[in-house]
Amino acid sequence: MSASTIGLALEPVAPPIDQPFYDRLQAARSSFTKVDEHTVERGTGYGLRVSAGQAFRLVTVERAQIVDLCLTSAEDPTEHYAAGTQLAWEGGFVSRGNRIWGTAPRSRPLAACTADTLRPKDDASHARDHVSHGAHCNAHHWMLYTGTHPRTCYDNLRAGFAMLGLHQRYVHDNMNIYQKTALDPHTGQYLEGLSDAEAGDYIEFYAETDLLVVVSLCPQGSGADTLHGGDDDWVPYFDMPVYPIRIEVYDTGITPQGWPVSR
Amino acid sequence: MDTQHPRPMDRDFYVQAREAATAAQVVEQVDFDEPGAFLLDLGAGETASIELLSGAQIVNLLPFNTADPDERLWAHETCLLEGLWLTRYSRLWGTMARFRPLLTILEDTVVTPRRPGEMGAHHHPVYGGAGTPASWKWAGGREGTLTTWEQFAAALATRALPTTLIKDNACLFQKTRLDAPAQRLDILASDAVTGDRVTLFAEVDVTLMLALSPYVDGASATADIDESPRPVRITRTTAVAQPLGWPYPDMGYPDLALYLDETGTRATEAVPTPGREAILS
Ligand SMILES: [Zn+2]
Repeated sequence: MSASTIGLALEPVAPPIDQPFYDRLQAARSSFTKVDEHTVERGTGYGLRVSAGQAFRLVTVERAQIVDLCLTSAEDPTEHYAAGTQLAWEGGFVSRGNRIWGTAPRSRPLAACTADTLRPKDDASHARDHVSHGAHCNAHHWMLYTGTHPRTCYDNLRAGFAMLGLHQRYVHDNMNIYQKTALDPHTGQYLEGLSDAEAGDYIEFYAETDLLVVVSLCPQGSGADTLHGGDDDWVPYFDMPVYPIRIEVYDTGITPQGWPVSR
Repeated sequence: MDTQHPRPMDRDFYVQAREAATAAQVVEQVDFDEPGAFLLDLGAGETASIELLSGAQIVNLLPFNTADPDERLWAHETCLLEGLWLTRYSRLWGTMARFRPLLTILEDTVVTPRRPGEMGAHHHPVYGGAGTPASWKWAGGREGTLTTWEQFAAALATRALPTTLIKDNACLFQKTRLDAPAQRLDILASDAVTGDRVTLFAEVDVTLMLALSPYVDGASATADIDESPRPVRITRTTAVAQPLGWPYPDMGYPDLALYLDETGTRATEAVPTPGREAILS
């Protein structure tokens, strides 16, 4: 069906891209050199600095684990991941080939997704892993279900930012990695799914600028257990299995092209 | 994120407030058709209506707590709680630490006809964020046009507030359809007509930051838009009800002292949440 038939008026935004640059980056992946790694323990958060031209991977260690991921410019921490722009420009999921966009006024790529080993097992619904939007769980969500709250993603992200000398107001709406979900196209309500990730899967991002990377391992774990399956099926937070994630940092040998680029 | 977390709602209260709003006394009325965002301060319990005066016009809305602008619309969490599209009795939720309703929609007169190929299209998506200078430029928009982001920035400057407060906004009267596989929002020509309105109930003392989108009604490709935004009428009334407040009695609610400082705003010391800090190795 053509766009005009269905009344589509506003065309998708197409920022310029230097595709040969990203082709060269892909071709160089086999020579990326690991320079650092850190295993983020169950139910915690972490913050680290990744230099422009480095890449970082989020690797599942035991099985899928929902990771809330914030990206902030190290040069100007008021510039950060822009979930709304990402949704508008690149869609609701993040995978290889997507650039990761920052806030206005610069609206530049902060990173680019260069690898994603996860393979969807079931395309029956529109839900997929690596959601580009949706913010983070917080004390309010958990209080509602359990009457108490663990270290929620908001707390974990706050702690991760504190590691980097930044306070809680720098926590922003984030990507949800290894979380499988979608918005129902008819109702606009969220659909839930279980992550398709297996142990050893990873997603890799190339830093287009000096970045502060902050992650939270969601206390909801892999998403396989629910807080709200029904009156007799609530899982207290302290019983929910949560899994570690390993962050690996690589030197790529490729200097970012900067922004803006010519098309 | 947690994808299912219903919140209690006293529906009867809002039904009565809606009824009261039809007879409320007007205290302020402005016809608004110029570039530059409009700031409207609403006292708790007051209402504001945005009414179309000359056909469909997308109106971008970013509300914030008048006394503490750090508490502002949390579009992503509102989407989780209310769904992607707003309508009558949708609540617009604010950011941490309080995460409470800032506004509730009492009336939405826009009708979405069902046309072939438009299944799932609705008005008033709570997700905006594309109204930036870059979006306008890369879509081929006319140079010199004030985008929503620039209008918001200028309006915030009049109160000495920084642009870093700009978050994703709600898009009143905009019609969108969700492209399901990509989960991307397609913008369609709005079905709203002259006289359509959205009425908002202030749950707290709140400032509405409103901007007329340069995309007008969403009916034309960006590069083809040469029409100025169409006028809307903004009407503020006296209080129609005393807001119920949040949380409701006997509702679980976290200790806000974990997040707020002595001024009642989010603490700006770079420290983890007290009692939940022993997490870093
Ligand atoms: Zn979480």
